[in-house]
Amino acid sequence: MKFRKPIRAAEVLDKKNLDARECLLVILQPQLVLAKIRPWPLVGFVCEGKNYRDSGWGNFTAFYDWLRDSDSKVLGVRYWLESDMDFLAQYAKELPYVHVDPSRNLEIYFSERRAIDQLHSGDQDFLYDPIFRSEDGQYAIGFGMGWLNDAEILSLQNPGAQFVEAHRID
Amino acid sequence: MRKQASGISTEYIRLSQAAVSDQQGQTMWSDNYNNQWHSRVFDLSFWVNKTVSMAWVDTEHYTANAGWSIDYQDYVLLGADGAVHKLFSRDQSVSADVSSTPGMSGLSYGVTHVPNLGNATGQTTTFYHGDHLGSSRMLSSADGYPTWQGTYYPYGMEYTPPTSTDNTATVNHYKFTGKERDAESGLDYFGARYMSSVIGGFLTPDPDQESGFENPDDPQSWNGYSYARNNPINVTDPTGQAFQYCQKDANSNPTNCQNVSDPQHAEDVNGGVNTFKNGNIYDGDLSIGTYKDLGPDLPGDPEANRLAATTVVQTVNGAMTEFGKNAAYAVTGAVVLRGLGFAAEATLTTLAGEDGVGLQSARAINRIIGNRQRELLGELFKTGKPPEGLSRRSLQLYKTIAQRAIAAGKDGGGEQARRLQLIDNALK
Repeated sequence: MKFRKPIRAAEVLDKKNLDARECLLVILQPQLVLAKIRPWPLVGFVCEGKNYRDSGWGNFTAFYDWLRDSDSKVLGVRYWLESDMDFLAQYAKELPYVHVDPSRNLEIYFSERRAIDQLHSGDQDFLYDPIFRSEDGQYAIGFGMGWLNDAEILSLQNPGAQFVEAHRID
Repeated sequence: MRKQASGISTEYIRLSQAAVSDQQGQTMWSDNYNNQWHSRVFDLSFWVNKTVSMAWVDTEHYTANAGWSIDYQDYVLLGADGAVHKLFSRDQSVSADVSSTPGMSGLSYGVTHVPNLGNATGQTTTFYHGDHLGSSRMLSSADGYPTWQGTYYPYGMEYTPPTSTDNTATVNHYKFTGKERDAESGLDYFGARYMSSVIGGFLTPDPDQESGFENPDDPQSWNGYSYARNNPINVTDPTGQAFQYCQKDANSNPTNCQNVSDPQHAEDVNGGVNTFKNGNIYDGDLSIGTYKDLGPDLPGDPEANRLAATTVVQTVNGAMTEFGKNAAYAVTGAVVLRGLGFAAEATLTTLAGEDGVGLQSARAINRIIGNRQRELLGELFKTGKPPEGLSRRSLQLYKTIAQRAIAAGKDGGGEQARRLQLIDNALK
């Protein structure tokens, strides 16, 4: 059977398998906990014996920037708040590792290091950042790392960042 | 050589008798034709309602030097309605079908095919006879002899196996709306896409309608796989990327037909109101046609002008929130979105204890863009080059998001402005 190539391929292209990279789970509890998990998108996950479920805001909830220092090491993530997400700002403002700019963004730092180079911190990623919620009302945000390079992902393991195991819920 | 079909009744037909004349008054038996093909049409009305027991067709041929030859090509029964019923063909792979031919039941027959003696000169020109959609309904030879006939269901599936007197199986590739039909797959090639007449739709979505919200206020555009706005009787799709609008004149004949190509469509989305009201398609200040209400809805219609001057908010199966003129719309309600094929990410739920989802958000528009298109947008922003498969619609939707982010002072240190520039370049 011979097919001519259509003028414009309408098929979904699979040029770059972005979800092959892990998703960073930022669990917003009094002591910041991080986890890496894949594949995503996720329905939910289990971390430290607690179930977190997707809260239904969708796979994209807001833009996010990876906060880097001048050496391009990733120190945290900036989550740009949509106008209807002040509840998240209210929730996070008491957390010591989060800097809240009300109605604008949350800056979540993975360690004590906060020497951000803004020129290297303007990703405006919008790949995957769902909001999860546990049964007892704790929130977590997932951040797709599809556009981070290997060195940047490696730099997440900087001293002070606490990583734990997480398992997806199917 | 004599071809004979025999039966049990009393009437018989011997078509090759010298005493029998064709409709041009020429005897069926003649030696006046040298190296020519002739279509001989013989009136069988005398035998209507009679039982025919035997039909003879005599041919002879001699292949000696300086001799002459007679060969027969095909014999068909041409019905009063123009239908062509195949009796038998020179092609030995094509079986004669007297027994199943209407009006010829009860006959048995014996046919000996003769080989092609090589006198088939000419007969290289074929004329297509189409219907109002451009579908080929009949082919005729240069001398007007019908050689192929086909009929179709509304979406192009052939109603019955086509009838052909041609001795090749590939007599006609160009069928429904004149598009080429692949002999093996049965798919019709529409340029941008293949269409399955069996399914009644395209195999792939419209390249610019992948997520169905290119024109959110035009429900018939929501399904990117549909053919010709699901109105295949009145509308055709010339390129696989567009549909053709026709109005009807006072005599209900199509008029003012226009092909709306995707680039033009995209420009229309940018430049004017493109909406749907009571089944009418409006394009800027021009009513370009209808697909439902085929009334005298001519260009310059006051209602169209009114629509063009107004920012339209439509309500379709729930609330449809306006994001701004020429921008994106979102439809509330998970059921509605699921109906649009967004099942994977459409469920709009609310967080316990929080307010509902605000649909006028970048989040809502990003849902409309869809995951894969969002990835392609990301690739554009990372590399600066539009990846293959990235739709204009996604670019336009993201443009709205970026403009809002900048207006809200959330432009990521100028990143959104840079993206706007990339989008504008890609849209050129």
